[in-house]
Amino acid sequence: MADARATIVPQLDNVLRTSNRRDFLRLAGMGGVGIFFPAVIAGCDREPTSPFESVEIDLATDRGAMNYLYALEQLQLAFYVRVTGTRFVGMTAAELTAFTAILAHETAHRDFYRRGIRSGRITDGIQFDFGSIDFSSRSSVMPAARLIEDLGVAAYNDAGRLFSDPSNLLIASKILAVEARHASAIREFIFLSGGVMAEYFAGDDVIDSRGLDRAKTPAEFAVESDVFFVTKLETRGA
Amino acid sequence: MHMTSAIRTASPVTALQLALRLEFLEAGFYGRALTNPAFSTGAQAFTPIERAVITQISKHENAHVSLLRASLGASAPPQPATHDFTGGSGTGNGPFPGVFTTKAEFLKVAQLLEDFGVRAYMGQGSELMSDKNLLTTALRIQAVEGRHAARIRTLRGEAAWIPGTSSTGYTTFVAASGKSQADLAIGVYGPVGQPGVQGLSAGEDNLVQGTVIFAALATSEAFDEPVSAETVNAVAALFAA
Repeated sequence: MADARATIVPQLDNVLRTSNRRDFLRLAGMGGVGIFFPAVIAGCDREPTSPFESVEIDLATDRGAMNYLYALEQLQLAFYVRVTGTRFVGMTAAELTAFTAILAHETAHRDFYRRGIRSGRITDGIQFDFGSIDFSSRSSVMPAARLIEDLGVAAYNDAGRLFSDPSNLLIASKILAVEARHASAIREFIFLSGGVMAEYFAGDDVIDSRGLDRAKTPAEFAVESDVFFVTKLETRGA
Repeated sequence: MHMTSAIRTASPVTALQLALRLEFLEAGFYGRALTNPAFSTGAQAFTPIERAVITQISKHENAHVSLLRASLGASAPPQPATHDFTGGSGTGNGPFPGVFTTKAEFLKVAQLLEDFGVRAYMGQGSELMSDKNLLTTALRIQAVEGRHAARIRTLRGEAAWIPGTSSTGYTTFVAASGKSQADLAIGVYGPVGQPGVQGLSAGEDNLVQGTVIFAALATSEAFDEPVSAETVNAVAALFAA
Protein backbone atom coordinates (compact mmCIF):
# COMPACT_ATOMS: atom_id res chain seq x y z
CA MET A 1 0.00 0.00 0.00
CA ALA A 2 2.80 2.37 0.84
CA ASP A 3 4.33 1.72 -2.55
CA ALA A 4 1.04 2.42 -4.26
CA ARG A 5 0.73 5.70 -2.44
CA ALA A 6 4.15 6.79 -3.54
CA THR A 7 3.52 6.04 -7.18
CA ILE A 8 4.33 9.04 -9.28
CA VAL A 9 1.27 9.93 -11.33
CA PRO A 10 2.94 10.18 -14.76
CA GLN A 11 4.45 6.72 -14.37
CA LEU A 12 1.13 5.23 -13.39
CA ASP A 13 -0.53 6.98 -16.27
CA ASN A 14 1.98 5.52 -18.65
CA VAL A 15 1.40 2.03 -17.30
CA LEU A 16 -2.34 2.36 -17.62
CA ARG A 17 -2.01 3.73 -21.12
CA THR A 18 -0.42 0.53 -22.33
CA SER A 19 -3.11 -1.63 -20.77
CA ASN A 20 -6.20 0.44 -20.43
CA ARG A 21 -8.74 0.27 -17.71
CA ARG A 22 -11.37 -1.46 -19.86
CA ASP A 23 -9.04 -4.32 -20.70
CA PHE A 24 -8.13 -4.72 -17.09
CA LEU A 25 -11.72 -4.80 -15.93
CA ARG A 26 -12.74 -7.13 -18.73
CA LEU A 27 -10.04 -9.56 -17.69
CA ALA A 28 -11.00 -9.28 -14.07
CA GLY A 29 -14.63 -9.91 -14.95
CA MET A 30 -13.69 -13.02 -16.91
CA GLY A 31 -12.00 -14.38 -13.86
CA GLY A 32 -8.68 -14.06 -15.57
CA VAL A 33 -5.64 -13.53 -13.48
CA GLY A 34 -5.66 -9.87 -14.34
CA ILE A 35 -3.94 -8.71 -11.18
CA PHE A 36 -1.41 -6.68 -13.07
CA PHE A 37 -1.67 -3.60 -10.91
CA PRO A 38 -2.29 -4.42 -7.27
CA ALA A 39 -1.39 -0.83 -6.55
CA VAL A 40 -4.30 0.34 -8.64
CA ILE A 41 -6.75 -2.05 -7.03
CA ALA A 42 -5.65 -1.10 -3.59
CA GLY A 43 -5.51 2.59 -4.42
CA CYS A 44 -8.88 3.03 -6.06
CA ASP A 45 -11.23 5.19 -4.07
CA ARG A 46 -14.23 3.87 -5.86
CA GLU A 47 -15.02 1.06 -8.25
CA PRO A 48 -17.00 2.26 -11.25
CA THR A 49 -20.59 1.11 -11.33
CA SER A 50 -20.14 0.42 -15.00
CA PRO A 51 -16.68 0.04 -16.47
CA PHE A 52 -17.89 1.36 -19.80
CA GLU A 53 -19.53 4.53 -18.48
CA SER A 54 -18.38 7.47 -20.54
CA VAL A 55 -19.16 10.97 -21.77
CA GLU A 56 -19.06 11.40 -25.52
CA ILE A 57 -18.27 14.82 -26.87
CA ASP A 58 -18.54 16.00 -30.46
CA LEU A 59 -15.95 18.72 -30.90
CA ALA A 60 -17.32 19.92 -34.22
CA THR A 61 -19.42 22.57 -32.48
CA ASP A 62 -18.68 25.35 -30.00
CA ARG A 63 -20.91 23.59 -27.51
CA GLY A 64 -18.84 20.45 -27.86
CA ALA A 65 -15.64 22.39 -27.31
CA MET A 66 -17.13 23.94 -24.20
CA ASN A 67 -18.30 20.56 -22.94
CA TYR A 68 -14.74 19.29 -23.34
CA LEU A 69 -13.35 22.17 -21.33
CA TYR A 70 -16.14 21.66 -18.80
CA ALA A 71 -14.92 18.11 -18.28
CA LEU A 72 -11.41 19.44 -17.80
CA GLU A 73 -12.57 21.94 -15.19
CA GLN A 74 -14.50 19.23 -13.34
CA LEU A 75 -11.25 17.32 -13.09
CA GLN A 76 -9.32 20.28 -11.75
CA LEU A 77 -12.03 21.22 -9.30
CA ALA A 78 -12.31 17.69 -7.94
CA PHE A 79 -8.54 17.54 -7.53
CA TYR A 80 -8.29 20.78 -5.58
CA VAL A 81 -11.22 19.83 -3.37
CA ARG A 82 -9.04 16.92 -2.28
CA VAL A 83 -5.87 18.99 -2.00
CA THR A 84 -7.46 21.59 0.25
CA GLY A 85 -9.44 18.97 2.12
CA THR A 86 -6.55 16.77 3.15
CA ARG A 87 -3.66 19.30 3.12
CA PHE A 88 -0.42 17.35 2.78
CA VAL A 89 1.98 17.27 5.71
CA GLY A 90 4.13 20.39 5.76
CA MET A 91 1.88 22.53 3.57
CA THR A 92 2.90 26.12 4.18
CA ALA A 93 0.49 28.96 4.85
CA ALA A 94 1.35 30.49 1.48
CA GLU A 95 0.64 27.22 -0.27
CA LEU A 96 -2.69 26.81 1.50
CA THR A 97 -3.65 30.37 0.58
CA ALA A 98 -2.78 29.69 -3.05
CA PHE A 99 -4.58 26.34 -3.19
CA THR A 100 -7.65 27.93 -1.63
CA ALA A 101 -7.62 30.63 -4.28
CA ILE A 102 -7.06 28.11 -7.05
CA LEU A 103 -9.99 26.08 -5.74
CA ALA A 104 -12.15 29.21 -5.91
CA HIS A 105 -11.02 29.86 -9.48
CA GLU A 106 -11.75 26.32 -10.63
CA THR A 107 -15.14 26.56 -8.96
CA ALA A 108 -15.85 29.72 -10.94
CA HIS A 109 -14.67 28.06 -14.15
CA ARG A 110 -16.86 25.03 -13.48
CA ASP A 111 -19.78 27.30 -12.70
CA PHE A 112 -19.24 29.22 -15.92
CA TYR A 113 -19.58 26.09 -18.04
CA ARG A 114 -22.37 24.58 -16.00
CA ARG A 115 -24.41 27.76 -16.20
CA GLY A 116 -23.30 28.80 -19.66
CA ILE A 117 -23.95 25.56 -21.53
CA ARG A 118 -27.72 25.58 -21.45
CA SER A 119 -28.73 22.66 -23.65
CA GLY A 120 -26.74 19.58 -24.57
CA ARG A 121 -24.46 19.84 -21.60
CA ILE A 122 -22.57 16.75 -20.51
CA THR A 123 -23.10 15.38 -17.04
CA ASP A 124 -22.27 17.67 -14.14
CA GLY A 125 -21.11 14.63 -12.22
CA ILE A 126 -18.10 13.13 -13.93
CA GLN A 127 -16.60 10.57 -11.55
CA PHE A 128 -12.90 10.79 -10.79
CA ASP A 129 -10.36 8.47 -9.24
CA PHE A 130 -7.44 10.03 -7.41
CA GLY A 131 -6.35 6.78 -5.84
CA SER A 132 -2.95 7.15 -7.45
CA ILE A 133 -2.28 10.24 -5.31
CA ASP A 134 -1.43 10.31 -1.61
CA PHE A 135 -2.99 13.59 -0.55
CA SER A 136 -1.09 13.52 2.74
CA SER A 137 2.22 13.65 0.89
CA ARG A 138 3.80 16.72 -0.72
CA SER A 139 5.89 14.54 -3.02
CA SER A 140 2.71 12.99 -4.39
CA VAL A 141 0.43 16.02 -4.56
CA MET A 142 2.75 18.63 -6.07
CA PRO A 143 3.80 16.66 -9.15
CA ALA A 144 0.14 15.80 -9.70
CA ALA A 145 -0.82 19.47 -9.40
CA ARG A 146 1.91 20.41 -11.85
CA LEU A 147 0.77 17.77 -14.30
CA ILE A 148 -2.89 18.74 -14.06
CA GLU A 149 -2.16 22.45 -14.48
CA ASP A 150 0.35 22.08 -17.32
CA LEU A 151 -2.05 19.68 -19.03
CA GLY A 152 -4.89 22.15 -18.58
CA VAL A 153 -2.85 24.93 -20.15
CA ALA A 154 -1.88 22.70 -23.06
CA ALA A 155 -5.49 21.66 -23.59
CA TYR A 156 -6.73 25.25 -23.61
CA ASN A 157 -3.93 26.26 -25.99
CA ASP A 158 -5.12 23.71 -28.51
CA ALA A 159 -8.85 24.09 -27.88
CA GLY A 160 -9.01 27.70 -29.07
CA ARG A 161 -9.04 26.57 -32.68
CA LEU A 162 -12.25 24.60 -32.07
CA PHE A 163 -14.39 27.70 -31.65
CA SER A 164 -16.37 29.46 -34.36
CA ASP A 165 -17.88 32.14 -32.14
CA PRO A 166 -15.25 34.71 -31.11
CA SER A 167 -17.02 35.41 -27.82
CA ASN A 168 -16.59 31.76 -26.82
CA LEU A 169 -12.95 31.84 -27.84
CA LEU A 170 -12.48 34.98 -25.77
CA ILE A 171 -13.78 33.45 -22.57
CA ALA A 172 -11.71 30.32 -23.10
CA SER A 173 -8.64 32.51 -23.45
CA LYS A 174 -9.55 34.34 -20.25
CA ILE A 175 -9.55 31.04 -18.40
CA LEU A 176 -6.34 29.98 -20.16
CA ALA A 177 -4.54 33.00 -18.74
CA VAL A 178 -5.51 32.07 -15.20
CA GLU A 179 -4.58 28.41 -15.66
CA ALA A 180 -1.15 29.55 -16.81
CA ARG A 181 -0.86 31.57 -13.61
CA HIS A 182 -1.79 28.47 -11.64
CA ALA A 183 0.83 26.41 -13.42
CA SER A 184 3.47 29.02 -12.73
CA ALA A 185 2.55 29.24 -9.06
CA ILE A 186 2.59 25.46 -8.58
CA ARG A 187 6.00 25.18 -10.16
CA GLU A 188 7.26 28.04 -8.03
CA PHE A 189 6.17 26.21 -4.90
CA ILE A 190 7.93 23.07 -6.07
CA PHE A 191 11.09 25.09 -6.60
CA LEU A 192 10.82 26.81 -3.22
CA SER A 193 10.39 23.51 -1.41
CA GLY A 194 13.59 22.06 -2.80
CA GLY A 195 13.30 22.06 -6.56
CA VAL A 196 16.16 22.66 -8.90
CA MET A 197 15.68 25.83 -10.93
CA ALA A 198 14.31 29.28 -10.21
CA GLU A 199 13.21 29.54 -13.83
CA TYR A 200 11.09 26.44 -13.44
CA PHE A 201 7.87 28.54 -13.42
CA ALA A 202 8.21 28.58 -17.20
CA GLY A 203 10.89 25.97 -17.54
CA ASP A 204 12.49 24.56 -20.65
CA ASP A 205 10.60 21.37 -19.96
CA VAL A 206 7.34 23.05 -21.00
CA ILE A 207 8.40 26.12 -22.99
CA ASP A 208 10.18 25.40 -26.27
CA SER A 209 12.93 27.30 -28.08
CA ARG A 210 10.35 29.51 -29.79
CA GLY A 211 9.00 30.61 -26.43
CA LEU A 212 5.82 28.61 -26.89
CA ASP A 213 3.90 26.70 -24.24
CA ARG A 214 2.59 23.28 -25.20
CA ALA A 215 -0.61 22.58 -27.09
CA LYS A 216 -2.24 19.18 -26.69
CA THR A 217 -5.21 17.85 -28.62
CA PRO A 218 -8.35 16.55 -26.92
CA ALA A 219 -7.22 13.03 -27.74
CA GLU A 220 -3.87 13.66 -26.09
CA PHE A 221 -5.59 15.21 -23.10
CA ALA A 222 -7.85 12.19 -22.75
CA VAL A 223 -4.89 9.84 -22.79
CA GLU A 224 -2.78 11.82 -20.34
CA SER A 225 -5.63 12.35 -17.88
CA ASP A 226 -7.11 8.89 -18.32
CA VAL A 227 -5.89 7.68 -14.95
CA PHE A 228 -8.17 10.18 -13.23
CA PHE A 229 -11.37 9.72 -15.24
CA VAL A 230 -13.63 6.94 -14.01
CA THR A 231 -16.30 8.32 -16.32
CA LYS A 232 -14.35 8.03 -19.55
CA LEU A 233 -13.85 10.99 -21.80
CA GLU A 234 -14.48 10.21 -25.46
CA THR A 235 -14.03 13.04 -27.91
CA ARG A 236 -14.40 13.08 -31.68
CA GLY A 237 -14.49 15.54 -34.48
CA ALA A 238 -11.31 17.47 -33.82
CA MET B 1 5.40 24.07 -35.84
CA HIS B 2 5.10 24.87 -39.52
CA MET B 3 4.13 28.46 -40.18
CA THR B 4 1.78 28.73 -43.13
CA SER B 5 3.27 30.82 -45.92
CA ALA B 6 -0.16 31.77 -47.27
CA ILE B 7 -0.92 35.43 -47.83
CA ARG B 8 -2.27 36.78 -44.58
CA THR B 9 -5.46 38.74 -44.40
CA ALA B 10 -5.35 42.19 -42.89
CA SER B 11 -6.68 41.19 -39.48
CA PRO B 12 -4.03 38.63 -38.62
CA VAL B 13 -1.26 40.90 -39.92
CA THR B 14 -2.45 43.81 -37.81
CA ALA B 15 -2.79 41.57 -34.78
CA LEU B 16 0.72 40.17 -35.21
CA GLN B 17 2.16 43.64 -35.69
CA LEU B 18 0.53 44.70 -32.45
CA ALA B 19 1.94 41.68 -30.68
CA LEU B 20 5.39 42.35 -32.07
CA ARG B 21 5.27 45.96 -30.92
CA LEU B 22 4.63 44.76 -27.39
CA GLU B 23 7.29 42.05 -27.63
CA PHE B 24 9.85 44.61 -28.81
CA LEU B 25 9.02 46.63 -25.69
CA GLU B 26 9.31 43.66 -23.34
CA ALA B 27 12.48 42.32 -24.95
CA GLY B 28 14.11 45.71 -24.71
CA PHE B 29 12.95 46.12 -21.13
CA TYR B 30 14.38 42.85 -19.86
CA GLY B 31 17.48 43.02 -22.01
CA ARG B 32 18.39 46.33 -20.48
CA ALA B 33 17.65 45.10 -16.98
CA LEU B 34 20.05 42.18 -17.29
CA THR B 35 22.98 44.44 -18.17
CA ASN B 36 21.94 47.31 -15.92
CA PRO B 37 24.82 48.06 -13.52
CA ALA B 38 22.44 49.07 -10.73
CA PHE B 39 20.89 45.60 -10.81
CA SER B 40 24.21 43.79 -10.97
CA THR B 41 25.93 44.90 -7.77
CA GLY B 42 25.01 46.91 -4.74
CA ALA B 43 21.83 47.53 -2.85
CA GLN B 44 19.57 47.19 -5.89
CA ALA B 45 21.17 44.09 -7.28
CA PHE B 46 18.97 41.22 -8.41
CA THR B 47 19.06 38.22 -6.12
CA PRO B 48 20.13 35.00 -7.86
CA ILE B 49 16.50 33.90 -8.01
CA GLU B 50 15.35 37.21 -9.45
CA ARG B 51 18.10 37.17 -12.05
CA ALA B 52 17.28 33.60 -13.04
CA VAL B 53 13.60 34.50 -13.45
CA ILE B 54 14.36 37.66 -15.45
CA THR B 55 16.85 35.77 -17.62
CA GLN B 56 14.27 33.12 -18.47
CA ILE B 57 11.62 35.73 -19.24
CA SER B 58 14.08 37.64 -21.41
CA LYS B 59 14.90 34.48 -23.33
CA HIS B 60 11.24 33.93 -24.11
CA GLU B 61 10.58 37.52 -25.15
CA ASN B 62 13.52 37.41 -27.55
CA ALA B 63 12.15 34.16 -28.95
CA HIS B 64 8.74 35.77 -29.41
CA VAL B 65 10.32 38.68 -31.27
CA SER B 66 12.08 36.26 -33.61
CA LEU B 67 8.95 34.21 -34.15
CA LEU B 68 6.72 37.19 -34.90
CA ARG B 69 9.27 38.85 -37.16
CA ALA B 70 9.63 35.63 -39.14
CA SER B 71 5.87 35.26 -39.40
CA LEU B 72 5.33 38.85 -40.55
CA GLY B 73 8.22 38.91 -42.97
CA ALA B 74 8.12 42.16 -44.92
CA SER B 75 5.15 43.31 -42.84
CA ALA B 76 7.19 43.36 -39.65
CA PRO B 77 7.70 46.84 -38.17
CA PRO B 78 11.32 47.79 -37.43
CA GLN B 79 12.71 47.09 -34.00
CA PRO B 80 12.96 50.35 -32.01
CA ALA B 81 16.50 51.30 -31.05
CA THR B 82 15.37 52.59 -27.68
CA HIS B 83 12.30 52.95 -25.48
CA ASP B 84 11.22 55.34 -22.72
CA PHE B 85 10.81 52.91 -19.87
CA THR B 86 9.81 55.69 -17.47
CA GLY B 87 6.51 55.62 -19.39
CA GLY B 88 6.88 59.23 -20.45
CA SER B 89 6.12 59.00 -24.17
CA GLY B 90 9.69 59.78 -25.06
CA THR B 91 10.23 62.57 -22.51
CA GLY B 92 12.09 60.36 -20.07
CA ASN B 93 9.92 61.96 -17.42
CA GLY B 94 7.15 59.43 -17.01
CA PRO B 95 5.59 57.98 -13.83
CA PHE B 96 8.39 55.43 -13.42
CA PRO B 97 11.55 57.52 -13.04
CA GLY B 98 13.32 54.89 -10.98
CA VAL B 99 12.62 52.01 -13.33
CA PHE B 100 16.35 51.28 -13.80
CA THR B 101 17.69 52.68 -10.56
CA THR B 102 15.33 51.04 -8.10
CA LYS B 103 14.70 47.33 -8.30
CA ALA B 104 11.28 47.62 -6.68
CA GLU B 105 10.16 50.08 -9.34
CA PHE B 106 11.56 47.90 -12.10
CA LEU B 107 9.61 44.92 -10.81
CA LYS B 108 6.46 47.03 -10.55
CA VAL B 109 6.75 48.06 -14.19
CA ALA B 110 7.53 44.44 -15.09
CA GLN B 111 4.29 43.34 -13.44
CA LEU B 112 2.32 45.99 -15.29
CA LEU B 113 3.85 45.03 -18.63
CA GLU B 114 3.38 41.30 -18.10
CA ASP B 115 -0.22 41.52 -16.90
CA PHE B 116 -0.90 43.92 -19.74
CA GLY B 117 0.77 41.65 -22.27
CA VAL B 118 -1.51 38.77 -21.34
CA ARG B 119 -4.52 41.01 -21.81
CA ALA B 120 -3.22 42.33 -25.12
CA TYR B 121 -2.86 38.87 -26.62
CA MET B 122 -6.29 37.96 -25.36
CA GLY B 123 -7.82 40.93 -27.11
CA GLN B 124 -6.40 39.91 -30.46
CA GLY B 125 -7.55 36.29 -30.48
CA SER B 126 -10.65 36.97 -32.53
CA GLU B 127 -8.48 38.60 -35.20
CA LEU B 128 -6.60 35.37 -35.71
CA MET B 129 -9.51 32.95 -36.03
CA SER B 130 -9.14 32.81 -39.79
CA ASP B 131 -5.74 31.14 -39.38
CA LYS B 132 -5.92 28.26 -36.92
CA ASN B 133 -2.16 27.79 -36.77
CA LEU B 134 -1.60 31.44 -35.95
CA LEU B 135 -4.36 31.42 -33.37
CA THR B 136 -2.85 28.42 -31.61
CA THR B 137 0.58 30.04 -31.68
CA ALA B 138 -0.83 33.23 -30.15
CA LEU B 139 -2.56 31.27 -27.40
CA ARG B 140 0.68 29.42 -26.66
CA ILE B 141 2.48 32.76 -26.33
CA GLN B 142 -0.32 34.12 -24.17
CA ALA B 143 0.09 31.18 -21.83
CA VAL B 144 3.80 31.89 -21.46
CA GLU B 145 3.10 35.54 -20.71
CA GLY B 146 0.64 34.35 -18.07
CA ARG B 147 3.38 32.30 -16.43
CA HIS B 148 5.68 35.33 -16.56
CA ALA B 149 3.07 37.60 -15.03
CA ALA B 150 2.39 35.17 -12.22
CA ARG B 151 6.07 34.83 -11.34
CA ILE B 152 6.81 38.56 -11.41
CA ARG B 153 3.81 39.14 -9.18
CA THR B 154 4.98 36.59 -6.62
CA LEU B 155 8.51 38.03 -6.74
CA ARG B 156 6.86 41.24 -5.57
CA GLY B 157 4.91 39.47 -2.85
CA GLU B 158 1.64 39.74 -4.76
CA ALA B 159 -0.74 36.91 -5.57
CA ALA B 160 -0.03 35.23 -8.90
CA TRP B 161 -3.48 36.27 -10.20
CA ILE B 162 -5.12 39.66 -10.69
CA PRO B 163 -7.63 40.54 -7.98
CA GLY B 164 -10.75 42.47 -8.91
CA THR B 165 -9.54 45.34 -6.77
CA SER B 166 -6.52 45.92 -9.03
CA SER B 167 -8.13 48.81 -10.83
CA THR B 168 -8.47 50.65 -7.55
CA GLY B 169 -4.98 49.67 -6.53
CA TYR B 170 -3.60 50.96 -9.78
CA THR B 171 -5.30 54.27 -9.28
CA THR B 172 -3.64 54.55 -5.90
CA PHE B 173 -0.28 53.76 -7.44
CA VAL B 174 -0.77 56.39 -10.07
CA ALA B 175 -1.66 58.96 -7.43
CA ALA B 176 1.45 58.12 -5.43
CA SER B 177 3.64 58.65 -8.48
CA GLY B 178 2.38 62.19 -8.84
CA LYS B 179 0.95 61.50 -12.27
CA SER B 180 -2.71 61.60 -13.13
CA GLN B 181 -4.74 58.74 -14.49
CA ALA B 182 -5.17 60.73 -17.67
CA ASP B 183 -1.43 60.75 -18.24
CA LEU B 184 -1.49 57.00 -18.40
CA ALA B 185 -4.45 56.59 -20.75
CA ILE B 186 -6.76 53.83 -19.60
CA GLY B 187 -4.20 52.06 -17.50
CA VAL B 188 -3.17 48.47 -17.23
CA TYR B 189 -6.04 47.01 -15.21
CA GLY B 190 -8.85 48.82 -16.85
CA PRO B 191 -11.48 51.36 -15.97
CA VAL B 192 -12.47 51.44 -12.34
CA GLY B 193 -15.96 50.70 -11.18
CA GLN B 194 -17.40 49.34 -14.39
CA PRO B 195 -17.90 45.69 -13.47
CA GLY B 196 -20.90 45.32 -15.72
CA VAL B 197 -19.13 46.25 -18.92
CA GLN B 198 -18.30 43.39 -21.24
CA GLY B 199 -15.80 42.86 -23.96
CA LEU B 200 -12.88 45.07 -24.67
CA SER B 201 -14.07 47.90 -22.45
CA ALA B 202 -14.11 45.82 -19.29
CA GLY B 203 -11.64 46.15 -16.49
CA GLU B 204 -10.16 43.37 -14.40
CA ASP B 205 -13.13 43.65 -12.03
CA ASN B 206 -15.47 42.36 -14.75
CA LEU B 207 -18.07 39.83 -13.59
CA VAL B 208 -19.88 39.24 -16.88
CA GLN B 209 -18.69 36.18 -18.75
CA GLY B 210 -20.92 35.72 -21.77
CA THR B 211 -24.37 34.87 -20.50
CA VAL B 212 -23.07 34.08 -17.02
CA ILE B 213 -23.01 36.92 -14.53
CA PHE B 214 -21.18 36.29 -11.30
CA ALA B 215 -22.11 38.02 -8.07
CA ALA B 216 -18.94 38.03 -6.00
CA LEU B 217 -16.10 40.36 -6.94
CA ALA B 218 -13.69 37.60 -6.02
CA THR B 219 -14.78 35.61 -9.06
CA SER B 220 -13.30 38.24 -11.34
CA GLU B 221 -9.94 36.88 -10.28
CA ALA B 222 -10.69 33.62 -12.11
CA PHE B 223 -10.82 35.39 -15.47
CA ASP B 224 -8.25 37.71 -16.98
CA GLU B 225 -9.77 40.33 -19.29
CA PRO B 226 -8.77 41.49 -22.79
CA VAL B 227 -7.77 44.96 -23.83
CA SER B 228 -8.46 46.54 -27.20
CA ALA B 229 -5.89 47.27 -29.87
CA GLU B 230 -6.40 50.97 -29.16
CA THR B 231 -5.46 50.46 -25.54
CA VAL B 232 -2.42 48.40 -26.48
CA ASN B 233 -1.20 51.11 -28.82
CA ALA B 234 -1.89 53.81 -26.23
CA VAL B 235 0.10 52.05 -23.55
CA ALA B 236 2.87 51.07 -25.98
CA ALA B 237 3.13 54.71 -26.99
CA LEU B 238 3.81 55.67 -23.37
CA PHE B 239 6.96 53.58 -23.53
CA ALA B 240 8.05 54.61 -27.00
CA ALA B 241 11.19 56.68 -27.32
